[in-house]
Amino acid sequence: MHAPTRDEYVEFVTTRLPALRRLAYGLCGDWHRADDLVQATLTKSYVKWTTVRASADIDSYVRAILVKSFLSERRTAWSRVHLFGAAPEAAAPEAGSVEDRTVLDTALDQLPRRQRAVVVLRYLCDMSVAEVAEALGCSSGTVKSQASDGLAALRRHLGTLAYPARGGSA
Amino acid sequence: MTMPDDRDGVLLLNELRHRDLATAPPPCYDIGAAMRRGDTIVRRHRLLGALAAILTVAAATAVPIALTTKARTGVPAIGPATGAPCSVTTITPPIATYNYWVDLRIDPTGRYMVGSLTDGPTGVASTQDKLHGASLLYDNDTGAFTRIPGADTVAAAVNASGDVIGAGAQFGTHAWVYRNGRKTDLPLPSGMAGGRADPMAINSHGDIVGNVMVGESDPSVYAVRWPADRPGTVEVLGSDSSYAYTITDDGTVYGMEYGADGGQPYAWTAPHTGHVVAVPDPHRRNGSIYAVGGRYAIGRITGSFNGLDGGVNAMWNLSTGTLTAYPAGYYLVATTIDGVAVGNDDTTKTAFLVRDGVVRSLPRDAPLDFETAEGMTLDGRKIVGIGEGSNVGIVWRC
Repeated sequence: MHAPTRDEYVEFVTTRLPALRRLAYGLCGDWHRADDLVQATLTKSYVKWTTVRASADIDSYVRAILVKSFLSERRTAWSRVHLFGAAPEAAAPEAGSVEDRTVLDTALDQLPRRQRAVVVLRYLCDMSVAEVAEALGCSSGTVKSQASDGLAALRRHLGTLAYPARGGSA
Repeated sequence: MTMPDDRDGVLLLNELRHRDLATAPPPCYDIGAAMRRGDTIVRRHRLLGALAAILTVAAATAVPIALTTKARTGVPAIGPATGAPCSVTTITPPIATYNYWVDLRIDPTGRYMVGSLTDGPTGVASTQDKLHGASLLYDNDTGAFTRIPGADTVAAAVNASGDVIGAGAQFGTHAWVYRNGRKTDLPLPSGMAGGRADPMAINSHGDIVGNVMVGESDPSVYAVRWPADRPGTVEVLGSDSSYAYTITDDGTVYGMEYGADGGQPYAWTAPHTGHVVAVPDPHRRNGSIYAVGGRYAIGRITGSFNGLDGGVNAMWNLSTGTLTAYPAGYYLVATTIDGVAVGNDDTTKTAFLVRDGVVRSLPRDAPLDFETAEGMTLDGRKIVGIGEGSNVGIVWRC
């Protein structure tokens, strides 16, 4: 890769690293695994950079690489490690506190892997139903029902864990 | 997706969206290491590529094959916002408990429609989960709704005989077919017990195709077919990275399969028998076929090995190679045998109809915020969809 192109790659990924790390954490719920996913994404993006930079939406491309890496994670040692064997005891945390974040993380951990991916891609990455369906190889109806069920499960888990009510009455 | 659900989802994940990364442990990724690793991979690919080129030349010398591609590409003309001469009506679910449409599909002749329902949109303050859900079959000849037995169902498609396919809402925990008033579970391939099936399409003969995911921790996906003439059996069509999206009345299954050249549009005629469907675009060889009408294919085509370059949604003539690529955000849903297509503009949240290469928005029912087209008859005269953020199904007559 030529030096200007390498510089372009470095400049791009440097600005996107926080968002990629946030997405990776949303998918796997562990910072170390998230960093492994980001590292794999950085490498794959670098290898494909000529194609990436020519694409209409570079962010989508790189994000999709990360998601694919997550869904194929079983091939890595991490997939055999259960980092959270049991949910923490229920607490009544204050919104925005460290404990509050743990509650949300724990609730996300309760979701099946692909359901979690649907929820995170829809509501953290703002991907459309069609984009999520394509990324996961399922029908749009499945994405809709999974997103709905995922939200329902999140509400249920958050309620169980005494998550503070948000938004009041709509 | 419902607007209340969208709002609820964003709010639920809002904390994660705005999480202060300063409270996370220091990152341990390394851009420099990624580049060094990437350079190694690129060098290895080049070496393998050179070896493959030598083998290809040797093979071509021994067996000359004439390959000619004449591609003609174009872009659609975007017409006026209310250009499509269609009327629009709405359908309210007849069940009080389940009054919210998730999906609405139509058979190629227009006689049957099938939809899935939940117990209504949930708001931010909702304390109860949605009930998934009823699936309803509507017969236009009799004007009667039939509820498909069982709870927790999402219907995927219906054919001209009124056969309905679907799956459990829990990501295809049980795929099923509703035929002659009886609902039957579709089997999983041997050795895939515990897997999850997601049926996608059914043809006029009752042959069903879909995808089977082996398990939550296994990313393998297999394209499968449940043949109508052998009830209770299932055939694996492709590799462990194959996807079946539609089946024509002659039994050809279209979808995508990963191979040495990445994910490419694929057509199967029998288990493990098929061919890559050439994309008539010199810059894009990868992608998927989602739907086929006559000689027209709808799909997403990309220009990268792994299909992750964003790509474009397109429709092309399988015989002539004429290809029309659509702007970002335009998703095609179905096509007729004459190349009339219907789709959705995800940016403006409007459904559109493509006729003679011109894209025209479908009329909008005033009270709805946005609408999504989800199916069309083979003559293009009737289109169905749902009003997002509401509880109505929609029928456009064109």
